Amino acid sequence: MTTPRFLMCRPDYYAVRYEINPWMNRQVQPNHGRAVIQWESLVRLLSVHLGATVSLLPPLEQQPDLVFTANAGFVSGKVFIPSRFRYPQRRGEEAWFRKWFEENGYQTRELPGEAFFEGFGDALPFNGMVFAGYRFRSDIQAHRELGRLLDVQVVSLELTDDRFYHLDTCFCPLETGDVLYYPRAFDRYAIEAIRGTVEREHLIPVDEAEANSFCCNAISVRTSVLMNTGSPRLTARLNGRGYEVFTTDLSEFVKSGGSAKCLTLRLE
Amino acid sequence: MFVETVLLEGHLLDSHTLSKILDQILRQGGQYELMELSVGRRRQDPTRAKLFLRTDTRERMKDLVTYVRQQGGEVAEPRDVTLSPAPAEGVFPDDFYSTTNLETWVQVSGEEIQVAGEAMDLGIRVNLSNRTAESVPMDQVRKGDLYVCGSDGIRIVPLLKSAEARAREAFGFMQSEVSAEKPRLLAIRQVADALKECHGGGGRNLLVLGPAVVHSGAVASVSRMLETGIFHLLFGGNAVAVHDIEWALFGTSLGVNIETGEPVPAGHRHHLRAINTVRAAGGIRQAVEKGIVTRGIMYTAVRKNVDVLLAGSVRDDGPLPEVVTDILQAKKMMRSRLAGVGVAVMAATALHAIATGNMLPARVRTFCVDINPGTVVKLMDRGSSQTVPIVMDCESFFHELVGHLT
Repeated sequence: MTTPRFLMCRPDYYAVRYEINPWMNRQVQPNHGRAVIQWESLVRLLSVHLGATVSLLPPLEQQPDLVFTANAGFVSGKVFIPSRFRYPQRRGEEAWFRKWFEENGYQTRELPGEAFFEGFGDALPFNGMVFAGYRFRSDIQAHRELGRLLDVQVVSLELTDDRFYHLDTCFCPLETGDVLYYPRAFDRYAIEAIRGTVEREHLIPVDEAEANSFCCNAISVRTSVLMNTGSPRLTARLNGRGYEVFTTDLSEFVKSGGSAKCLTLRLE
Repeated sequence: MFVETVLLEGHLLDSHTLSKILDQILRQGGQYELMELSVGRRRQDPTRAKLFLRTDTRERMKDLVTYVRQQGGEVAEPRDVTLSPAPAEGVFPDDFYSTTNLETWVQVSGEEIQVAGEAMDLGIRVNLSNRTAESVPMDQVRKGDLYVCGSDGIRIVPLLKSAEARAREAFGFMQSEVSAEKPRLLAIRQVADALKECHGGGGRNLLVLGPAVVHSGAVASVSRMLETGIFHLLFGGNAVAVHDIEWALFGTSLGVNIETGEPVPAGHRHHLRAINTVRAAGGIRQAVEKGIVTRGIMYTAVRKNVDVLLAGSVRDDGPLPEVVTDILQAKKMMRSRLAGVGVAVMAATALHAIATGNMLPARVRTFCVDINPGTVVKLMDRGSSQTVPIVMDCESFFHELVGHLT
């Protein structure tokens, strides 16, 4: 069994310096000390309980959201497909991510065209295909290019609720084949597409309160699921299905619209 | 009218994006035609679709194109047409583009121009100085005029279906195959509705008749129908007029009494006598005005001011003075009268139906009535695929139709 490996970035400069999603409010700044403690707890859980290795990307003072490494790009084997951020505030992260991947033996392959694409934030591998979200951050045109580049089926899902601006905030394929999702974040065609791709017994819908606590922004390793606190009903359901659920307080990161999954990028 | 061609690529079916786009087009009051759809063989192969869009306002098209782009579609960039001069009088340049009976646009120096006169088997002449394009039959080609060649820059607008038209398509099965095994009363009601709708909307209704209308005894029904004023235009040949007038003067058609079905002694001369009488009067109109012809189809047409055009043939006896014997001239006159025609009803004639069908745009609702399925098949096989076939005796057809019109 391979050891799961994640890329993370210390929240040394993490702050809410701009507002590019409904969660962000410059008047409500994260507490730096608590953010560091929460981030370190996440690293500990990943290493100790999920047996993962964590690689670190050095933080950049001018890029507070660099801590959300899931948005670096899309990784398939040793191929890195860099993101093209919609908001200029985050575009400064692109070169820094690319540098790390190139220095670590990855081959960078650009998506042709100019469509916006926010990596693992909006594109989630599942059973040999990819689910991809669009509208708020990524463009559907990028899905077509991703499919071509990787010769993979990409099912596009249109997002309709700006609180769930990335697919990984409302949709979470687990390694077992189950899928957590918040149905009201999608249009009805996307719901049809999900139901047409994932068998009904594998679909686990979550309610609004638990979706708001970022339960879909979970990390999945085999039968373990790691998520923010605040979803007791989902935790019980998952336990009932044989999952081991780890929860940890990531409230300081929710202030930027991110949680467990956003803070990590799965390398292998 | 605003048109665009849109290309889509991706996992359109798995993602339901194609149905989403099509639904939205109808919701936004647009029309579409899915022109191509190729689905990949492997799961990871993308699906490609080519979509034709049409809206009635520029604003609507702009909104739709914006929406389609948000859903990953690309608007196809058309190229200019290739133009070549006609090498001689009556001769198209090599590789000339031959038209369909659908609405057609050509792109000339980046600008879309609609081709005037949509009918099949013509060339497209482009006038660069006033930026117009029109379809032209071969016999009217002038040396040196510019004609569209090849296939670049030509956009054909398929018959688009609005949401409303799609709903109306419950009737679509009528067009599936030609057969006598169809609910004809339903079809006849549809003909009546189409005629009324066209008439009410300021359009013109065309009736094309063959002589069998008279032999089968439909004269009374057709006359009553013309009496209602629903038809504006009547096409036929010498024969239908001769037999109708023979009936008006002698009560026979080719010497056979229409009421009794019995041959009348010396009846074989009746049709020549009828022609002679009309020629002596100076024409059909004069024969009616002088009180010589007092009943029948021609009589009613003259009285109701129906625009009658009779095209000649080498088989014609006489012919009647109104018959246009120069066929190139007859074709030209037929074409020029077809403007504004919304519905065409063709009964008991193969030759005139096909001749007219060749000149009709596909958007004209066309009904072909004949007792012989082969006649209707012939018309449809010659490209008038919009034709609704009605296989039945034309006397019964007109009898039933006039009931819906009066």
